[in-house]
Amino acid sequence: MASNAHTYKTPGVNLSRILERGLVYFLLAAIGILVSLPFLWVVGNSFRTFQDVLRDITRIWPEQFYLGNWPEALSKFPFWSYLKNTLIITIPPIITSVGSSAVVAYGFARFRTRWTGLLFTLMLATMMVPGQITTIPIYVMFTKLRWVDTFYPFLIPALFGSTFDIFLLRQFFLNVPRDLADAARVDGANEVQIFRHVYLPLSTAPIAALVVLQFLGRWNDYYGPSVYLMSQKNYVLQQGLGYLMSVYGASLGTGHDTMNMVPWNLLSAASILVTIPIIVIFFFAQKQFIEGVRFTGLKG
Amino acid sequence: MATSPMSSPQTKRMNPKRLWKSVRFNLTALAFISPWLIGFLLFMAYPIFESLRLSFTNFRLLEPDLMQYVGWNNYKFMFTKDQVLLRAAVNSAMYAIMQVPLVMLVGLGAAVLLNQKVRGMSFWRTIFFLPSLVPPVATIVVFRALFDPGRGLINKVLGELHLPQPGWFASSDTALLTMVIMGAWGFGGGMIIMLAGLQDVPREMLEAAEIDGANSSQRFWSITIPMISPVLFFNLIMGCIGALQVFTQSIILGGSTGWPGGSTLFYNVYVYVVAFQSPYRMGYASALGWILFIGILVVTGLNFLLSKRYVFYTGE
Repeated sequence: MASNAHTYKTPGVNLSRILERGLVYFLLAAIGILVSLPFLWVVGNSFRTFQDVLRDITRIWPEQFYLGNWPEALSKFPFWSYLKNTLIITIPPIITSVGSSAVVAYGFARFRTRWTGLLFTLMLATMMVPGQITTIPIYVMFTKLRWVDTFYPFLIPALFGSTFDIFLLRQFFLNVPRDLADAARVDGANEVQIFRHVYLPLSTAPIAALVVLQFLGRWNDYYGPSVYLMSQKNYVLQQGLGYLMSVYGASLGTGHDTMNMVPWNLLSAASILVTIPIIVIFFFAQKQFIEGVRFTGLKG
Repeated sequence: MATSPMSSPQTKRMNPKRLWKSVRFNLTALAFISPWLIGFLLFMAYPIFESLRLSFTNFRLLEPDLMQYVGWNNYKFMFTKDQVLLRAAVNSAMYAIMQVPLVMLVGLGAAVLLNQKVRGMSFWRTIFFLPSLVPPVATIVVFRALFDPGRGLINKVLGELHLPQPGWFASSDTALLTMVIMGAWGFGGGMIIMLAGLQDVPREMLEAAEIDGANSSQRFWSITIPMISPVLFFNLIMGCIGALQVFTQSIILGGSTGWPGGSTLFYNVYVYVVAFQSPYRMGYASALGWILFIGILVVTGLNFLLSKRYVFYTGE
């Protein structure tokens, strides 16, 4: 990119250019090390014994690769049952929520009259309302339905789509060439068929991005489960990890004497178990993650 | 709207065939939109009005029969007597004031570096982005250990450099600051948005300025920053809204009281504790929620006022 014009205008630019490149890589490496430090520490400590961790928790490279933390961490909390609960409140809601969002987005994109426009504006306005306001009446409603401490509070609202996803997919659908839909119409396709066979196949990229974003949000969610899931058999993984932390005195200020006895090796292994599915999905769907985050940066 | 792909057929003086077409059109639209519409009525419109109503009552979930309308008492109590709320509101505001600019600065810095046509761009981007994927609970496990005042890695390094070793999470003076540092670890999401913004800055514009003799810092401040100001603005608004509503970090680190010494109690946790822990004071919690909403509206409004002066939109 450094144009030739630049090179002969200011002599010695090559040296300054090299220095500049060096500085860029130095800064990248410095930030990279700082950012990776927590990862390196947690991975290292998940392979250390409790005694080694007690002696020195600052060490990153394990003395020996001790594998016992993994089965022990799995036995300290019902990992598989919490994983099952997590999947129940993650996977079906993603499917129904993104699916309904696509249907609704198609409605807003294809049927543009005064009343749909008004509803769309209304929908955008509701994005401003914080969840704290709506949660309480919804909780009361779910209490009356006896849905508290079940998975319905996660499954049922997802049937009606997500405001953000509807907004994004509508914007995307608006850019689908009108000729395609018109051609399908001439061929006798009805609206459902146009949606399924013209719009959906063209929208796999944004839909995949929304799916991974929802996965991230639902998998990492701690607020929803804290509100709706209270008996331990219904806990999700995040609650399980939080529970482990409190059991080991790592979450609340119970004084420093107990902090010294925290089995960071086990907590490290447990944290990795809770995190690994996301990292794995990230490496398979990196493009979708990046796309998804970029979408969130779209200016309305 | 008139040029939309399928605008509504005129309803005036139409023959039965066109009337049928219009009805059909509107019914099909309604069918497509109905999933959202039903959800909106059940989980948005009704809860908003119900929450507003509850905020003027002393409603407690376990004693619904004792519910009474108390006028503005909840709001009066909030602003005159509730010391815990004051603490939580100040904590949340302080957190937002520190965390949002820090995350934006680090994110912008990293995005600018990545925009320098570096080798292995996607490698660096992945490294920087990974922390934003880690569940908050797991993040807390790691930061709790790294910032352990007695034995943690950070204080060990500081000790060897003969620097003061703060108490981090364990001291009420530094706990909030440590949460800000932990929050800054997740700068990757904002970074990606800003990087996308940087890549959209027209190359010709920068090259033209270079030929006119602008040095790199002049180009950065006079072209790049104005061109990405909408992205920065968006990040600022979303960052503030998010920072004012942090929940997980606060409740796991500080429990329902914001240990140590109330220093980590955030607004959102306080609302949660009032509403969902015995005695389930949901009337008061609803009032708390509305004040949070107003607070968010005010902050967003202030940002918009600022944006009139500082944000540059192309094509306007």
